[in-house]
Amino acid sequence: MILRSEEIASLLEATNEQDPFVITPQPDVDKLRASGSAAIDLRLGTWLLQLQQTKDSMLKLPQKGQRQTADEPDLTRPFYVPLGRDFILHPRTFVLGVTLEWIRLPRKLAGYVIGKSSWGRRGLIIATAAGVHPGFTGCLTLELSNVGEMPIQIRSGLRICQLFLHETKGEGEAVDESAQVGFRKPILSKIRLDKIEEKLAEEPSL
Amino acid sequence: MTVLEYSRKRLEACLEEVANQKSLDFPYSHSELALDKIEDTFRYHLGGLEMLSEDDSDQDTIRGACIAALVEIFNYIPLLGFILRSTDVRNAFEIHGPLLSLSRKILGEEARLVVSSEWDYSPFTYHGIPQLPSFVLMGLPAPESANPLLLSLAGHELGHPIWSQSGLERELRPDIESTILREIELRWDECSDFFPPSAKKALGDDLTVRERWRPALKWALSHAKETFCDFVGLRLFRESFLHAFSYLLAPGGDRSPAYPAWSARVSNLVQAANAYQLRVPPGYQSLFEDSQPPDVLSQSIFLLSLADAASQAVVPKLVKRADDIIETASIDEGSEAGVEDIYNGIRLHIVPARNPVALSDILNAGWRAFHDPKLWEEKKFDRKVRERTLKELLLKSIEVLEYNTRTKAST
Repeated sequence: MILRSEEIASLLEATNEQDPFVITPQPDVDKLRASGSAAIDLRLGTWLLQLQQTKDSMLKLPQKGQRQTADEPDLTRPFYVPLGRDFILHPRTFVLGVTLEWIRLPRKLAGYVIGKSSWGRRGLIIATAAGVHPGFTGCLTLELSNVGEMPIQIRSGLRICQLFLHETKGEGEAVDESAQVGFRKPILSKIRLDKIEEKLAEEPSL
Repeated sequence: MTVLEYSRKRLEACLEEVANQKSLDFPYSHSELALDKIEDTFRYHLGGLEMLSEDDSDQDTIRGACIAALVEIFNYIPLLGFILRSTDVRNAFEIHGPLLSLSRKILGEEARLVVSSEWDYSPFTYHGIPQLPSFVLMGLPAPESANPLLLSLAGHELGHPIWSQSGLERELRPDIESTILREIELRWDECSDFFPPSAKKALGDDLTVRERWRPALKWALSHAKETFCDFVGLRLFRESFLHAFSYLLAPGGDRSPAYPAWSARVSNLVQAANAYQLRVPPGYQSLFEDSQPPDVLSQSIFLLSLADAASQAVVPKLVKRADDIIETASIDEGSEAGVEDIYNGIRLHIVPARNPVALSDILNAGWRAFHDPKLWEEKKFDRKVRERTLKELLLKSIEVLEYNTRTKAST
């Protein structure tokens, strides 16, 4: 069941110190409650990560036993855009952004993030690793690409995406302990092969 | 090539470097403004040199203008390096807004701030630069420039322009001088070899005699300034200043005559902490050890001991003046409840500050978490992940503070 803005506002106001739902900086709860929407707007943060050309010929899959593909510092160049300052996203460019808000989901909530249609219709596509798992804590990495024909002015602090929330079923206590927890900057998550992928990559012994 | 031509070439090269830097991405406009001012200075000198010619101008005039230009190059080139490093993404850019706000509350609304990193393992500040009078240029050591836990040390650096603005040096000079003279008289047997036999009666009046003890006065004033700056940092950032100070500087190392001995410096900090009703970490003073400066001439040691005595005599006054200045600036000083709230958010839920009101609260909560051996024990983070996560939370908290301050001010 997707939560509506009244419910989200109540959760933000609740003083559940055992397992709180936190968004900081906190949105205006009264405005949120009055909006009647089924999502909460999130703003663009101050750090961006631009993918760049490297000395490597391609992005390769990791070999057996390797933990990941190319290191983040080789692949990316960070930018800092102070609050309220602009960044120009040129056509056919791709950057990683991050939500201004640090989000912590309690055990009973999960969510997904999507771009705002007002931006999408102008060519700014905001994709994310959309699922946000129970117990996640950190800023959400956003993938921004300009698929339109004109450069697009974006700004840190701009409302750029929305978070939908729903309650989870089941009694599990486990929460998201992934490596992406606890960052204020956009990050490249690691690509690792699982056992099956490693097995399939081996020469068959026929 | 003539000296005049060399001088013009040098200035042209400096202007080219300024132009190169202007094409960089500056996160904050104050770095660009500082570059503009430095560019104006170089252009002014180049304009002057272009009006001179080897054939028609007086040689002394040419020489004077060339020397003046060269002096400016020596003065401003280190600043260009400093400004260049202010663009480096290693820096914790989030600290700029809250530090600027703090600087403006103390120094006035015209204050401008450039935060950068230094290739010198000591926090550093440039201020009182003729062409950049309202600028505070503050640098943390490069390997630690993204470490928010050390941000409290910026309080010491902020103390330097406060010292210049407050006129404290002029105010304290007579006290310091009279203590030095009194010490010389009291310890005449130890120092009679350094002075002419008739000097005892003319210690303060005879210019040649004054020259003998002048280094003590210079050092004592420098000790007083550094001590005052420590107190400003302590008063602004409370206990977190003590932790950051020992993190970066313990156990002390070689003593510079421009600073008090380590034991005195730390003892003064403890004295001020008591006056400001702050908690000093147990065993704090034992973290530091004294050492003599490399120059061990007995005369220097004697003069340094005079400086020590004179600067120590003004410590109570410095404690009070730092307190008064910060009190008057109406800075939100934070509270124990604010620290506890932020610390609990970090410890229990790995979330940054939700409603921070003071930078000091964030930094103190950060140190409390840093020293907590059980922090996130159940998460089984390794040490690096633990420390990285704490820094992320503190820098985000600082950004939330700026966001809240700016959005509340505008509504």
